[in-house]
Amino acid sequence: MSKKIRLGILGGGGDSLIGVLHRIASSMYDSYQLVGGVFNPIPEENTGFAEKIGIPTNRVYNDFDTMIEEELKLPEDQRMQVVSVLTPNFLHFPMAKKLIESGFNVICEKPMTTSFEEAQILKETLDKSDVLFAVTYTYTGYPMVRQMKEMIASGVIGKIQKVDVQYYQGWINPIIHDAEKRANTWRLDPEKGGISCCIGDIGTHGYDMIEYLTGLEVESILSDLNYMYSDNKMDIDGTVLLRFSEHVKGLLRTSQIATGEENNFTVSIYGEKGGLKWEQENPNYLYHLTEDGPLKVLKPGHGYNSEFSLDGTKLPPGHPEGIFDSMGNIYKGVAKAIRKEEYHPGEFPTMNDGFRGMNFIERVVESHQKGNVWVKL
Amino acid sequence: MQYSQPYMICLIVNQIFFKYFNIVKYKTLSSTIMRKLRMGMVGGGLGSFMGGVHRKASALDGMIELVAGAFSSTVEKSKATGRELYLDENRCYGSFEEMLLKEKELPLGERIDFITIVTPNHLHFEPAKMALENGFHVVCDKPMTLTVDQAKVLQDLVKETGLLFALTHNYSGNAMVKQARQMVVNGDIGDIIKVQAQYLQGWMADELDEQASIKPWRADPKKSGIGGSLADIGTHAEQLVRYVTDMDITEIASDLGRIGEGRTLDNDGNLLFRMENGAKGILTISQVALGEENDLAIRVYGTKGSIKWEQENSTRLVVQFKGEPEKTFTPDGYGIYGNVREVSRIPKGHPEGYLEAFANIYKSFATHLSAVLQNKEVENPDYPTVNDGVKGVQFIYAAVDSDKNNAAWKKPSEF
Repeated sequence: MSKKIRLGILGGGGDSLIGVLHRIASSMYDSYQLVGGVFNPIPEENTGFAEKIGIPTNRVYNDFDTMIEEELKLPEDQRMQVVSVLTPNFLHFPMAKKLIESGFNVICEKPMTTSFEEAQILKETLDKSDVLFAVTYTYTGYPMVRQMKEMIASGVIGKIQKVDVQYYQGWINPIIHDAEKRANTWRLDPEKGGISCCIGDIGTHGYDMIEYLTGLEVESILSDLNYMYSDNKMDIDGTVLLRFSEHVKGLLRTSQIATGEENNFTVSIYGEKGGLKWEQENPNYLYHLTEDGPLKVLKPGHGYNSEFSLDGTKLPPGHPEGIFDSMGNIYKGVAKAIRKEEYHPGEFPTMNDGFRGMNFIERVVESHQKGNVWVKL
Repeated sequence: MQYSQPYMICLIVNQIFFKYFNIVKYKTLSSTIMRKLRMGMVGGGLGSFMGGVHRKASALDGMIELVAGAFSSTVEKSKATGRELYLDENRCYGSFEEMLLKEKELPLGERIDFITIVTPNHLHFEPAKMALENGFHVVCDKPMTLTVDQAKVLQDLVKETGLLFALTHNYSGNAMVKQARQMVVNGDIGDIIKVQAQYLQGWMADELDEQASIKPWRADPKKSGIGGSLADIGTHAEQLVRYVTDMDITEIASDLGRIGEGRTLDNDGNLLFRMENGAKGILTISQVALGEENDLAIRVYGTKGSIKWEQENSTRLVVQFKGEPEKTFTPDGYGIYGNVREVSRIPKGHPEGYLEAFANIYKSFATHLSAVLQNKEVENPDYPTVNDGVKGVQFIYAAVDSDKNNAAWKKPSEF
């Protein structure tokens, strides 16, 4: 077995929850070694954090330009092989671009950039290089999501005719109604977050999931967003009609003011021959509806699942794997690709997913701002 | 080159934002941690399922590092495992005896702090005993030992030495199990009057021939002990009952099944039990309940309310109070206790699973050990201990004895 892949992380320090998620996920399959990075812009907190998580501080840098500079001085067999970008949205683009140009593989959090224009530049930059680029649409790593994808691809539910995706959270409810809080939240600040909060943060998950699962592309959308207050620049709620084709339609309903909701991401896909339903908060159950028998519930680890699903299952049936394992599967896919081993299509989201996601966000905002009209993607 | 001011402001605002948002802090490293704890593993060679689980669980929160191991019965196999794990070959030993003796010769700043024992049941006692006798702390998989006498030897050693001992009853590491316990302890559901518990699996129903279905050591009482399903899963249920109710089981009446050709060990059981306050309980366990995956579940009924939890749906705790609609509590969710909220590593609605619950046992142990190594105290350390180990083995013996006597009532404490 070859050596562990050398991983660097940008961001993710302090109380960052995304940092926890990526660090634990990268360790799930023993493929990676975290060797350094830039966890925090404040130097003492940066090195302090590195000490806390038990990694040597000699490769903890003050900023990402220095990191790239210093890492490039190291021989290839010591240098970081892949860097995860976990910083706030507005830093994804500059960091990812320079990393790609400097020859590092990149794992980038979503949304990939803060504008479609940036996404286009990043895509062009990647096209000119030969590094790997992954976008962490975390939920695609769940074994029963992969099972759902395989079942649809193999025609189990037949030709798709209806898609329904919901992504509801409630955490912005206490923030949005307080003028000071909403003015001081980075996700509601266009300079830090981009042009959209709800669609940009969680709507993209829903959109990416639909295209991931169905293999179809959304052709046009009509959106109705809610900003709630006139001094709030970014949407916190939205309903998006989706048209895949004349006879294939769907709905994305997403909100951050669905009071009391935790992380309620559910997707239902109906075809001529049956339906499939999945809920993120109960991720190990896949519901299969048919007209020739009762509702079936598929669970991870059994022989009736596809090889792609089983490959993402580490524990025996009844031993629940959760979000850390799901992200772990994405990291595992990236590891396979770095090692030039065979991996499944869809084992990790790529530039194409990130790119389409940014286009989706902009078109959704455009549709609403133009008076809730149909917009082609 | 410094980061620009807007970015720094952004980061600070980020921190403030997260505090408003009430996200649980990343609690892996409290102020008591001074360095990673060094762990040596006994058993768990390549191919060992539980070895992999312990390695992931112990490493998950960044507090423990695997530095040594006696992974297998031969030194070659042990080193082979060590190579796959990128360990120093010199610290991959051929036996636990060698590991403990050699590690003891290393300076304090290098030697392992504790061992973790993931071997088959009959190989728990000797390494645990030797570790304690040589100043090493211990983490051990269940059941703790084969016999009650052995369990009591370990209990005495822990008492004498003051060393730490954790027993990996991993399911009690689940956040919603801790919420259940806290509600009981706070008196939310009143006095407990009835407990119902189950631990049902069906994997053995696929192959009822004992020799074919299970590892040879599990069919040999000298290696498995006198309990089959009692030892494998019964002890988990027993510990869960005691942990959630905060009470001891005083008596049990047990009817065991040995389903399939030529079975020597139980693979099924129905037990009645009584608790120290007079509450009555029922426990059903099985490895032949066809179709069942890993269905550990508990219901506790009190005078003011009731709670229900299922392992296969571990992020839900269903609670019922008189006159109110049924409620469901979730990790980092609305209305849970503060100490339970701290167990979550990630905000509400992002499911943690089996490995994270297992890791919580290691995390509590590591927090306690780090404090001890700095001569500090931890109030009410929350992980199963050697005392749970004794009770678990007593439970097995009482259940087997009761079954031999046509389900006569037996007191575990008398074994």
